[in-house]
Amino acid sequence: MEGVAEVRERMASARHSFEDVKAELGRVVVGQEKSIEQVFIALVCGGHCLLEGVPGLGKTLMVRSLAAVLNLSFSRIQFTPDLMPADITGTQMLTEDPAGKKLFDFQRGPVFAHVVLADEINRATPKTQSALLEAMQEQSVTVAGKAHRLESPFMVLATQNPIEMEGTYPLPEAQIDRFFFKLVLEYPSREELGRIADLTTSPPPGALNRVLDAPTILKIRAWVREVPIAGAVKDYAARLVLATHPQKNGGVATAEKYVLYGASPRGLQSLILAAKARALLAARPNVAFDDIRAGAHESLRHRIILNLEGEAAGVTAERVVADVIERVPEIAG
Amino acid sequence: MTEETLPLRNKFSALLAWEKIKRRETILLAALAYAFLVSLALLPFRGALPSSLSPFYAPLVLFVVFAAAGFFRRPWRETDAARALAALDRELGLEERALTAADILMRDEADSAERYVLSEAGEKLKEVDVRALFRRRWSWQALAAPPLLLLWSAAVWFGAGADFAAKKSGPASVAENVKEFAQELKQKAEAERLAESLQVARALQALAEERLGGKSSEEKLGENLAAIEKRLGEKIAAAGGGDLDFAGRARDELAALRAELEALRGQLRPGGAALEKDLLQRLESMPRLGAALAQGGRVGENMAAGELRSLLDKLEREIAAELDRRALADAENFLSLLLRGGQAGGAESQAQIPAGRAGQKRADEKAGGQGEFAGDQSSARDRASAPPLRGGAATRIEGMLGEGASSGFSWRGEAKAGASKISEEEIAADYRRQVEEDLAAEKIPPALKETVKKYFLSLGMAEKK
Repeated sequence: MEGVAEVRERMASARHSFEDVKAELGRVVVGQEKSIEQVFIALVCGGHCLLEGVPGLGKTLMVRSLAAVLNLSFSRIQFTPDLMPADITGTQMLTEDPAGKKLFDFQRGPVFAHVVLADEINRATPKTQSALLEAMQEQSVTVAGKAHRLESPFMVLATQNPIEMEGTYPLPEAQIDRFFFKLVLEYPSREELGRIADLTTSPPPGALNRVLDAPTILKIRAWVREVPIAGAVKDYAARLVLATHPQKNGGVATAEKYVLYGASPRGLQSLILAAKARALLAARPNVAFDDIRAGAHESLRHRIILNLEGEAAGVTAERVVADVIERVPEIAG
Repeated sequence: MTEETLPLRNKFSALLAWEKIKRRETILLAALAYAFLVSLALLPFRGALPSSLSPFYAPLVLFVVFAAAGFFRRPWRETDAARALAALDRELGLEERALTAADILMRDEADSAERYVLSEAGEKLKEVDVRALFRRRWSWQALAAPPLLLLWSAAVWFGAGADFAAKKSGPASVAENVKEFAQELKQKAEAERLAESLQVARALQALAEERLGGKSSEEKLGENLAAIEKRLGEKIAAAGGGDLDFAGRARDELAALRAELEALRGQLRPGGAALEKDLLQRLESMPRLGAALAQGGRVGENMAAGELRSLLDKLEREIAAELDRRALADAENFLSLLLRGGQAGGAESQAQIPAGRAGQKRADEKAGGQGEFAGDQSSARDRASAPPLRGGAATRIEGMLGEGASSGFSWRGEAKAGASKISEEEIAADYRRQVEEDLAAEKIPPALKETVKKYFLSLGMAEKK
């Protein structure tokens, strides 16, 4: 059985790995530290991310760089209205073997990569969007009745542009719920813009160093699940999720008035797993209340559906989550 | 694992035990404060309780009730233990290590990651003294308890609420009546200089206060009152009538006579010279005194001033004796009624006392009969609203309307008659136009546009109907 010293060592190792990834990404991605941290947390938790932000914020660059730093295979799919499911999953091609015999060979689609960037996912039709469903949930693709396993670690990062909604197909709630986090990328500050200008208008930096690899990520993924969490902290997370519901909330007026459906049980899983990952990456042996709160917005915001009154009043899911965090006590009364 | 974690277990046990002690103390002190607070508030209503019940029982009973309610309402729960551990984490910046470690300790087995938490928590809590870390914090109830105790003790010591109790409870109301009567008698005796009556009034007042202060029993009061009544009877019987007969005169008449007597005495010159003419004329203007002197002897020009003075002295002594006798008779009558009522018992007998006193007053006035002089006759209205026995003359201050400047102003408005100039249709059309403009300007959220439009269309339909 592993001893306490080994546990201490592996925690330190996880922390160093994370620090290295951040440092390496910081060479090419300016700002967005929080988003980088959240993407890495989602990765070590085995989740997928929905990225939302205006064009030009470096979403693609961030994801591509992350894959490079982690030494993972990367593929990018630009979603368009005419994109077909087979364009994502792959298709059966008629080929000829050396003996001249014709047979169907499965040509893998771009989904067969460790990190898949689904750019502007809401531009494709629901049929194509749903092709990602099985891949995201089951980590396998079924073509012509045959299941093809995707490589581990597997992560989908889908982007959405919040300002061009004409001619788009908003993701159905069931599919949105499958994303571990929804990250909103903030516009860079003046200082960050200056650094971006320097970085992109001068000779390009050298190639990124590979600081991690797939087996290490899988190891960290296993360690995340071993981080202990106190019953009271778990209960706090559960009460946060319940408080997003209009009927079962713990006295949160905003949720009661403006929410149609609250966060699903996947929201709770996301809250706790992310908190565990955060504790591990900070080399802390257990989950704290702050860890739960730190990931609450990313875990819950896309799982809350506002009612008409909420939409009309301009209330956002962000505000509901903020109110829930403010109102729900750490220890149940 | 048991041996390794024993210090940590002990630390957690000490913390929880300390928190439980603090909780108990808080509840008990709050119960104590509320018990004294409510006891103080209830002090004026002591009369509603049986007289045998000591006022010391109230805070005791209330304390037991409040403490029981406190323990019932706030029992020690698991969440309290979690709260205490979370407070420990917060205080020491342990990031929920203590909370997690306590959770792990509740299980028999722990994996390596959990043992790491235990070792970290044990390390950080090794030197911590939970009692020093979480000192007692006195709530306002705890701080208020000692002053409330002192206040309540002082209130009980000085007999707060005893007056009310006296009014409320049957036995004490006898003492209250005696006290009231004694005060009236004392006032009257002081005003009319009635020595015997003053003594009796003081004795009655002392007895009543002794009873109201709880220093004597009801039986003792009854015995003392009976003794006084008996002595009064003897005294009244022993007081014989003087040379002059005042028995048939009304009390007011005697008072007026005394006033005339004093006025005349003021005009008498010292020495034994003959009476002056104007003094005799003055005496003629005092019909009551003239009549009284005529009853005692002849008054004329040849009478010496010293002779008149001694005559006036005698007259005054006899008037005072008569007034004193009547006041004592009143007191005897009152005590007789009171003691008879006390024997009969019940509310009926209590009601007799004031009625008896009023009746006594009227009987006294009737005994005097109608006055011989103008103004002596009391009207029916005066008799009906006869004031209680009080000394001193009534006074009346008359005001006079005078001339002076006054200021004021008035507002005058003019109302325009007729219907409103703007028709209802115009107003509705105006509103509709405004809404349509808003709809066009997209001030209304897209999701609500249809609803708003339907609403105003429905208004238009209602108008047509």
